[in-house]
Amino acid sequence: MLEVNHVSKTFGQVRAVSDLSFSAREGAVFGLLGPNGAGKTTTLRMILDILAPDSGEVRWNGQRVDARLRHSFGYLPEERGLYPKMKITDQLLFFGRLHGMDPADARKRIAELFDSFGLSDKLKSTPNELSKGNQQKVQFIAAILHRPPLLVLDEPFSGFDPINVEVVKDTVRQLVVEGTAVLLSSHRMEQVEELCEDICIIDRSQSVVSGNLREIKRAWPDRFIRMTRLANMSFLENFSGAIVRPSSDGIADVKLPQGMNPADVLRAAVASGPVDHFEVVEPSLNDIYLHYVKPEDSRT
Amino acid sequence: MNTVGILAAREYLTRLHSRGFIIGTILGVIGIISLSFISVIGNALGGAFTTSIALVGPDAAVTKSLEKALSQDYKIIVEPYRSHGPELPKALKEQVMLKKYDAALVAYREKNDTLAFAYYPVKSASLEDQQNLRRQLLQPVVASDFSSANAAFAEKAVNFPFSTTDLNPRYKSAAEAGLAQGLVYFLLLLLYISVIMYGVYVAQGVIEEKSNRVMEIMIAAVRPSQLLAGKIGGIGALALTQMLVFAVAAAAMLVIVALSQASKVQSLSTAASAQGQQAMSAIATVPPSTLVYLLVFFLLGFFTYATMFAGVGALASKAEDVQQSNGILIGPIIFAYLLSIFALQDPDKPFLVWTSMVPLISPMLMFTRVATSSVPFWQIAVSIVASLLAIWLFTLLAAKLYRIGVLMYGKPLAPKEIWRALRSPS
Repeated sequence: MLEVNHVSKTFGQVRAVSDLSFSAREGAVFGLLGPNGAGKTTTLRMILDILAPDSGEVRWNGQRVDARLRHSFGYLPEERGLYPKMKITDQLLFFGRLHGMDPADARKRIAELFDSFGLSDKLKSTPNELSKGNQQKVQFIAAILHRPPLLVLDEPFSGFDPINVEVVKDTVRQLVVEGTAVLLSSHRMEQVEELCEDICIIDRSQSVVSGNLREIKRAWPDRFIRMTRLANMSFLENFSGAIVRPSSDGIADVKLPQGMNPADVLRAAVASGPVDHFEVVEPSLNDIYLHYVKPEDSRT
Repeated sequence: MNTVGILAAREYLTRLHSRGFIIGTILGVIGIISLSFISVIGNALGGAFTTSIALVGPDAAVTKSLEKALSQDYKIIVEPYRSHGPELPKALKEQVMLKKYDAALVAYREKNDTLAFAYYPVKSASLEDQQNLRRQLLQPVVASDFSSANAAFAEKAVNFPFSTTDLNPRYKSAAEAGLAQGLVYFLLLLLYISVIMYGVYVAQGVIEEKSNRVMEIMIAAVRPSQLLAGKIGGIGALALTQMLVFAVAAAAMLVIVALSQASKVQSLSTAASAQGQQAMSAIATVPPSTLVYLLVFFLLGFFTYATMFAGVGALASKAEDVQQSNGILIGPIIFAYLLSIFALQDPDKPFLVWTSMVPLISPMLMFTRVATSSVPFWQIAVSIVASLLAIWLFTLLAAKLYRIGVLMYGKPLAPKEIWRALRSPS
């Protein structure tokens, strides 16, 4: 279990992270969400002991994270990079050995992972000879090669095409089944929603919501309706505070304010036109995110 | 293998296979081989261009003494003619004109019995020999002008005793001193180039890892101080490898040249090969301690500057920035090099004695002094200890700069931030 307890970090006059706390379990994915500049990368760097927090502490299974402990962690930085002219297998072997792997074990594991990532014919290539997507895969392999108990992924899906996003997601799911604690940062809500059991949204250096995603959704006061988009949606004018967002394929997403009964809306809708589809849904992670994270220009 | 070892091994192996290193090493070896061959070629050419002179004398005794006096510098062929005047015998003239000989020399007695000479060079080069011929002929001329009873006295008068005793304990002769000085200059140049080149390698290595963003992965796996140690250790090992290759090449050439000289001496005892022999022995007399000092001062110089180059590299975020700051560091190296060139001439000037104990300057200057003069041991010790202290200090500072600098991309740090980082506890 990773515990982040009241960590704060200031760079000069800029407060990057203030009093942030959360914990990430083994065998689950934890999502650290927030807009650019919210303090996600700084938080990840403090977890990995690359940066020292000004106050607070980071613990792994009860022990304070230090150079020896973080040695076993896996890290995919947002800033991707490899030695451009060094053979990828040599690089991975090098990274594996830096993490304390036995060379023979590292070679075997590289071959396995190359196989599952469809890179088996690229064993002798250098990064310069690889496509950008394949370079990303090599980087991802570097992060998981040494079977880390804690895997920290900073924006893991950026730079991947949809097919490779699935490959990465499948790999993450597999690692979670094997008991790895995965901590990822992202602003791609749909992917996080699929993977994460627990989340923490940070905005302007502070945590705005944190906890189990299921529970956050269940406890969410607003109601969301997915219904057939009628030619005239003006019946909603009687429901003050209801917001309609046209969705695809003749479907409209309607957000009802707290305390409003979806059954009343259904009755009014049926009265104004043919309703083929009407469904009360939980808020999406995107809805929750948009609720908490204020647009850039509303900031002081 | 421990972490620093793994880092150093990668640094070493990657650079060992790099085109730049291979080409640089090959060029260095070619340089050493051609330097060694300069003396061989010089000797060979010297042998080939020995002027051959056909000699005609007035009588057997004079001819013999002339042959003896001239054969030091020339190839003398005694002709079976007797001279009665300056004229060249007709048959001999034909042979000279056919360039069988480079020149002909006719020695004859004038009416008052004075020995006189007529020189007939046919090659333009042999024309230049006349001055030297005059000098060489002085002794037999003087001897022949005395009666045979006084010949011994005359010989003594010309060959008056003259001995040379060099008070410089290092060299047996002036030629040897000159040669050794040249060699020290060569080693100094090697030291200068290596310290700059490998220092810049360190700075470039740091900036490369930053610009290709590998640094971020590395820094998550290992400590900044380990990264620093691995980089400097790997590049230092690379520098030593290159020096070892050069040393082996130099030693091999020394053996080859010495062997070729030895065989030449056996087959043909010419003056040229005798000189060659002397040159070889001069190279061999460069004491092994000089080479040990070269290694010691190279290591001190390399580590002094490499730690500084690493710190500077960590603070830069672009290759262009690092070039500027490299300029600042190369300044003291050039200064030390210039002082060392002065020291080649006068290694014990008080100013040089004191500056040779100052870190940054001492690796080159103290090496030059040690190689060209008898430096008191305490001065060498002070210079080594001072350099070690400087390396210790620079390593601490570089590790701090590394920690703040390695994750810094984009805008350079303000001097205030650098100062704060340097003062923070490790």
